Amino acid sequence: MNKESFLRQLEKKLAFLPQSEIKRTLNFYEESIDDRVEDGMSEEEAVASIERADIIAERILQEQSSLCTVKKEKETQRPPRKAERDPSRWIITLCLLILGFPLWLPLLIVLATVSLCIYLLLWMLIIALAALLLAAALIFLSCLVSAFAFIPHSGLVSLFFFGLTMIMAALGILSWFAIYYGCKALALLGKKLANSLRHGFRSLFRRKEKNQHEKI
Amino acid sequence: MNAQFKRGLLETCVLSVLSRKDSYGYQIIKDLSACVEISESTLYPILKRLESSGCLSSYSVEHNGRLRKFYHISPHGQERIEAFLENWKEVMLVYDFIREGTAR
Repeated sequence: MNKESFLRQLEKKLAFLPQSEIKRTLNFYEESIDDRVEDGMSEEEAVASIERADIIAERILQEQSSLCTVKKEKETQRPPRKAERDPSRWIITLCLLILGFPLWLPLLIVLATVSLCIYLLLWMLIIALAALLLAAALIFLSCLVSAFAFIPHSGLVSLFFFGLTMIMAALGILSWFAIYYGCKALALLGKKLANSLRHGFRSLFRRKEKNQHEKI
Repeated sequence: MNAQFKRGLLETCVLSVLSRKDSYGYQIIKDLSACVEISESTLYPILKRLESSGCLSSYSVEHNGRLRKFYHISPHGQERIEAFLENWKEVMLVYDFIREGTAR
């Protein structure tokens, strides 16, 4: 057999490979034959000293499948997921959840109520601060009016009212800042709580879906 | 010889040939024939694997009006050889131990 017919035969046998890979393989074997010819063999001898085309194709196929099995082995070696590792654990958890229902439900309700109360209480504090701000503003205004009204009668009383306006102004500014930052912090806290609740529910449902898939 | 084991040995043999100087398919087979008989169909997948794992690179050089593909060992390939030798030190210790046992 000459080089051309050998390469054609090999190309046919390698049809399962992508085109670029076929070309690379053919180049490799063509080079080998040429090198042998250069070494003093005839073309027929060179082709004969190389293995048959079907053996070459088989080797390449073997190589590919062995790579696949290596990959598969690696995949199976990966540690199994928790649920897969121990399905009885899930059943036990479920049983405990059902049996412990009279205990954990009231506890959960109490916990939820208490945390809601604390959250609302913090908002009440803000409302109280707002009331303080309003009162301070009103006292500020009335003291200011009184201070001006007392100027012609008594300097001392007028000065007293001026002092009161200053104190009220300070109190108002302080409560304003307290309200501002308090609102911000509470809004953030509320958001975080809502988010974590949502995430908790979502992961719970996802886990359930996953389990259902696994069972199927 | 175990197929997986033999494959590892041959890969290191090819790397060793290339660590002396860059070479091409037929020359690698000729160089290796001093210690192990290897055919093209064995060498080709080995070269491919070594190249894809970054142990060697290839380039083409014109020779007598055709292209000849040369292979060049990478630093990673050199490391593989060193790791092989290091591993075999331990294997040889075990080998000596086992042989002493049978000699008695």
